[in-house]
This record gives sequence, structure tokens and C-alpha cells, in this order.
Amino acid sequence: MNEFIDNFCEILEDTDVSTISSNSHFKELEEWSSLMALSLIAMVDENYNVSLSADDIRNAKTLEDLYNLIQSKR
Amino acid sequence: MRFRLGKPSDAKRLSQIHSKIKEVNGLGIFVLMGGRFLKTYYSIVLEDPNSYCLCAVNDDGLIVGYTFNLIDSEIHHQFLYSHKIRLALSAFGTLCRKPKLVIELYRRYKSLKSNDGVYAASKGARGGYWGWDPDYKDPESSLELRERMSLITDALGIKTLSFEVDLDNSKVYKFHKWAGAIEDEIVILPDGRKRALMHYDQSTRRRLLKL
Repeated sequence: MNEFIDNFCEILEDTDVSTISSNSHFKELEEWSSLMALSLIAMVDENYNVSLSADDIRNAKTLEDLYNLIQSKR
Repeated sequence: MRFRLGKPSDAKRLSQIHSKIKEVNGLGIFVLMGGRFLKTYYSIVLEDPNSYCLCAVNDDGLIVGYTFNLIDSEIHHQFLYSHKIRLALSAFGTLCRKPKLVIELYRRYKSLKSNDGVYAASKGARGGYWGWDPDYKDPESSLELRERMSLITDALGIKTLSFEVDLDNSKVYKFHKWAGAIEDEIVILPDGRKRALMHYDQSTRRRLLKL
């Protein structure tokens, strides 16, 4: 999980990464945008070899949700 | 969210979204030229038989995102050129207020006339623009719009899609590389910006999402 959070923080530009935890609601971040979603999809594919669907992203609220989803798809 | 094809009657809304995006992301010549010019430009794009546009419409019936492509850039440039008077008239007010823009607009005009490919691909299918209303935050639907557009591109039998990305948009540039885009050339625009001319082979392009 920590590694996933580190990877997620790497795609952030404007957010204070010290505020990011497994409980963070990533879609509520001010910089959450199409561009960031693109980066997230690319990061997950590159690091975990998992393809996310639009619904996967829609249904995940926290980073932990996303992480669990990725683990279930591996 | 519903998706539907864009029509010339959508030009005003598309130009509004384009303006809003640039308010957030910076200034391009199209936005500097003002709303009237943008609306005329989108009217022409949507009237062009060589273009196809997909819009995302929210529950209130408002277009919140759109993307358009061109089946044949060369024919599109000819189409745009054939409407040069219409474009010029729509630009007139802005050029009176901001005469410095004349130089940049004239460069574009010359490029369009000769179809020299300085600003964008000069032949074959080309990706146009992908815009989303920054006041309507729904990145998932925005990506879905883009992926659905790619399915339409496949359905139209387009094998190769050219597009351009300014290197300043580093995230977008990086994403396209990840998604399998092939870089053809880096050009330096007359205003000094570095621009990558790229293309996708539709058969090898990484799918953005599973729909």
C-alpha cells in the first residue's frame, strides 16, 4: 500500500503529498482532472500491469479502494 | 452522462468550453482571437463533411465535453480556407483591439493556404481537440468520451491518426508516449513553442479504458 501511495504521489503536482494517505479521497483533490486520471491509468498499467475501467475509477473513493481493486485484478 | 454526435448548432457551446479551458491552461491563438472567432471556427469545423465530433451531455442536456477529429486534414484545410472571409470577419473586432495578433494570424493563414504542415499534420486523419468544461468536474466521463471517440475512429476505418502536442503540456505528451503514440518530428513554432507531431497506429494504440 505504501508503495502505491508513493507512486500516486509522483503524479501529483500541486497537492501537498504529506496530506496523502490510504484514506485520501483522491477525486476530491483540487487537481483531480482528466489529465491526472490519464496519469493514474498509465501509472497503474506500468507498475501493476492492470487496466482500469471508467467504472473502476468511478467506484473507488479512497486510495485504499483503488489499491484493493488493483490487487483483485492482478 | 450521455454521448451524442456534435452538430453545427453546438458551435457556440463548444467555443465556450474551449475558452474556459484556455482560461485555466493558458492562451492559444484561438482563444486570444475571442469568442466570436472561436464560434465561427467551430461552426465551420462542424459543417465540414470531413469532421466528426462526439459530445458528452449531462443530465440537464448541457454539453460538458467534446472531441473532434478530421478524416482528411488536407481537405479540411481547403474547407477552412474556403471560409476565410467568414473567419476574417469574425476576427475583425479582435484584430482592431489587439493588432499584434495580425502577425500570428497571418502566419496561420499562410500555413493554411499552402497546407505546409507547420502547425499540424497536412494530410490524413488528424485528432482535433478534446475539451472538457473545467467547471464540470467528471474526469472519468471525460476519459470515456475520448475512448468512445476512438471506437468511432476505428469504425470509420481510420488506421492512422495524426495529432500534435506542445511539449509544455508535459503530462499529455508523456501520456501519449505511454499510450503508444509514435513521434514523427519536433518542430519549433514561429512563436518559439516546441511542438511534437505524433501519430497513433489505431491497431496498436493502448486502450485508455475498458468500456
